[in-house]
Amino acid sequence: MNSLLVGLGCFALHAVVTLVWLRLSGRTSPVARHAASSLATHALGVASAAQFVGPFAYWPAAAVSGFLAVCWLFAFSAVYKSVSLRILTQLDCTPGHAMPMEAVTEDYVRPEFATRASLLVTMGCATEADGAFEVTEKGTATARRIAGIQHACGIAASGLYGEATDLMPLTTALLDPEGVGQHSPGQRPG
Amino acid sequence: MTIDFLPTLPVAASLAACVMLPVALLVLSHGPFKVTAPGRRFVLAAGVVWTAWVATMIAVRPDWVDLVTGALLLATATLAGFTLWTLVAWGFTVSMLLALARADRPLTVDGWALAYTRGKPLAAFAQDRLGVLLKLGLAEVRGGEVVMTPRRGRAFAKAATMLRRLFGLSK
Repeated sequence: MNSLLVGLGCFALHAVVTLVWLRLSGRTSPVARHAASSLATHALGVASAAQFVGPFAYWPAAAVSGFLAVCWLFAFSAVYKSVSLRILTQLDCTPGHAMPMEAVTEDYVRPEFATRASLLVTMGCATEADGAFEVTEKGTATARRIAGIQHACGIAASGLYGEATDLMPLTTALLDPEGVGQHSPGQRPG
Repeated sequence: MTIDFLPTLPVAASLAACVMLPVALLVLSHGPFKVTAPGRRFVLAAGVVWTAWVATMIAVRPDWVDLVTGALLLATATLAGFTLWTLVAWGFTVSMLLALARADRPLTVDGWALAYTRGKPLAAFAQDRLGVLLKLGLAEVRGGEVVMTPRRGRAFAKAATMLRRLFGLSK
């Protein structure tokens, strides 16, 4: 029981650290901040508990803090990156909570595409000249690695939910997991 | 020692189940057991591993702390695995990079979008992402307009807005 509470304490510390750190500007990506905070607060929490709480089993504490940290990251990723959730929150702000299909494409999806293109340029995977984008050597190498992973996982299609699968679990819908972003958290992530 | 790092039998079995998840995924990705749809494949792999875990827990009869620990460990592995899986299968930026690398020539944003959707208009991509909202009952299409559903859609939108504020993200 003690060790479950230790895990809970580790997560509480992690939540506080991320809420502060995500509001600060800097080059470290939000996902890296989550990961670094999670590991550091876990180590600190476990070491402190060993000093002040007395003997306890490690794995229950690790399970609680690990699970809550992953859920915390999941919730963050959902609102940080998901195109679908962005459209939904815009609908909530629109009079009548309705938007023409063309507006969704032109006002949200096209800018989203342009934002991600800029992100790839920032990451050094693409270059832009006269409004045209071209893949760099780093981008080609990264793409080759991703294609290798897709091949190993037996995934042929990518990008469109409808093409790659006939099943869209809730988590897929919410997440759009794009943990590679290098924006500072306050920026519009794309 | 004040910290006991040695896992009990139920916890060790749960850690083994965590390792089995990617193994099950790989088995279902190739050969005679291949499941074509990536989403269904993950759900099936997770289902097999969770079933095996439940059977093991019944056999070893853990106390409630070990049971909760094991369930949380496997839930963590499932959630983390699914995040990586969806990134590989459907990741937006990842797929954009693959499309640009496939083209192997300079592309405008519109050309890039066409390469991404393999020749379909950008509206097809918009509809693809909207399909998620429609299937979850968060929005509906009425006469060429996308309309948020009053209860579920509103609740999700409010929750998302609150989370954005909590994490300090701009609107």
